[in-house]
Amino acid sequence: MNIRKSFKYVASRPEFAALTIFIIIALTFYAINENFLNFRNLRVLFTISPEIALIAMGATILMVSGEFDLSVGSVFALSGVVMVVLTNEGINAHLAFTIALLMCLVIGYINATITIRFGIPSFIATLGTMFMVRSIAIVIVKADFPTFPMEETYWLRAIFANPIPGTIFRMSFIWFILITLLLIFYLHRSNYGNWSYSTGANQAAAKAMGVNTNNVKIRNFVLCSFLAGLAGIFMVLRTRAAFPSVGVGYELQAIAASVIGGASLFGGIGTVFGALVGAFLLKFLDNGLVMARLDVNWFRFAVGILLIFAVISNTNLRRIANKMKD
Amino acid sequence: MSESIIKCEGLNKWYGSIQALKDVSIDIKKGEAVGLVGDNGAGKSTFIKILSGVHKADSGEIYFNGNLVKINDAKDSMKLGIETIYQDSALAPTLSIARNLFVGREPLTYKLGSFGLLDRQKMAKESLEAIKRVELDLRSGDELVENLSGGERQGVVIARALYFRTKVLIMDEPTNHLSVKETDKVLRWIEKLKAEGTTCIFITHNLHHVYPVSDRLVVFARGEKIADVQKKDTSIEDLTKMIVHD
Repeated sequence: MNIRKSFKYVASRPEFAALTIFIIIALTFYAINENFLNFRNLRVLFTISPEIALIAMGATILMVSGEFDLSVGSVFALSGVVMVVLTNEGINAHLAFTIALLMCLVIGYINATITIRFGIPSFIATLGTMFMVRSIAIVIVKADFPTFPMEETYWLRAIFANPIPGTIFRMSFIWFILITLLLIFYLHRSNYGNWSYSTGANQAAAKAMGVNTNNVKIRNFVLCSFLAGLAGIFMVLRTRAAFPSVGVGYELQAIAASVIGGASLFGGIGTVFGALVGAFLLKFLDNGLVMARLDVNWFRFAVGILLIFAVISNTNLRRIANKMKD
Repeated sequence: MSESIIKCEGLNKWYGSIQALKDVSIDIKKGEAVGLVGDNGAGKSTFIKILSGVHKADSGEIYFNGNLVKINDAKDSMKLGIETIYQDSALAPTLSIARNLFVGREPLTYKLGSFGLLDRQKMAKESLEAIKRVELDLRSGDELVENLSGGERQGVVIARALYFRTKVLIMDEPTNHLSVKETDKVLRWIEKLKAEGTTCIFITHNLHHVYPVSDRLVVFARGEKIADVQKKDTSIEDLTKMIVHD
């Protein structure tokens, strides 16, 4: 009885399946090369994984409310570029940081407006802004890779980017944990979260119950864009240079991470924790292939298999769990 | 019958050059069960969409409890105590019963502006009580709505109306796609709502389903109200003739 019940619990929560695969992958790569989980490599993993995880969590929340954002990879690049270029133009680094983030909010709002106002699929609307935002990022820096002035960004790096001595973490990881907790409260414990789920699951019903579904979507578009921009700034503060071509393909990785973590493309299903696990899974896989001295080009192949496997198993596990009575 | 709860006077609605509603006046009394019948395009859907705030009338007045009111959106309508259940679209299937019951009206433990944290204990406890009132055989409010049968889903919707002490419940084809047994159950719930003083308005094309629980039947044709009769003064045959032949 209890075994049935716990099976039902796990089966109806696909993030646990993702977590299991994550652990298996981590242990497999560790078995192949024990350096995979050594101090140095863990430091690398826990630096790069949170950046894609922030984007994936935003993507999941937006997917839960029934929309997509394909512009996140471009926003990831542009926020960093804008911040570096403005700082080099002599603008105060903290002000540049604020402007870059505000700009991400505006891009999110534009994505939402195009989608809602003109009633077109967000897939297309944000595909458009994906190209536009990327183009802006490249035009701004031309062929240059502008670097950060060190002194002006001392405090920003100290607060957001520097390694924490004696640990595998950087400061960005602390922010990442804080933001994750806030997002969990937002999506799973608040009325805004309940509105997001109901909007994605059945927009007409949500509307009939008095939920302003447009506001729900605008909020989540803006949140998604903001998280992508913040991740871009974390990267730039870490590398101290802006690369306009960075983050190409992140939009699809974010969606892949969301789906591996259990989110549904049709809206109404998905968790913040699932997105986090999905994102870490992708980055561990990417890095693990390198450490195992396999051809890195197999990464996309592995992601593809995982993605298809995840969707098939999520759908079926959910069906099985649904059929089980308590 | 007692005093009126919803009184409409001279409602008109155009969609472009098509007049969907022509000078419709209806006076619905407290605790009454009214069946709106008519063929497709007769105007009955337009009428309830005006009451539920989905559309606005181009002219005419609505009185609620004797007071002139403006219903601009779904929220206005809900504030008055009018709840509308559309066919197949009243619930979010991937959410639990508890979450569905409280969508848009969540009990909160902490509030900042319109943002608030869910009072999950209260939601679990009260959702269980709410589904017990409609005698649904479900052990917890955590069950997902997608696992429920069509009849059980209507039960959840009616439980919601009972819980929030809805004054007027508007139902669009409440017995569509239901088995005979489940239809029976839904009709019994409607009796229960009536007993608690809820005014019920149904739209239907199945007279046989709605006839037993209605007190009064209103027939629509081409945007006009062509008949408004107490059940005791009419029969299914008379009503069918009116719908078909007009």
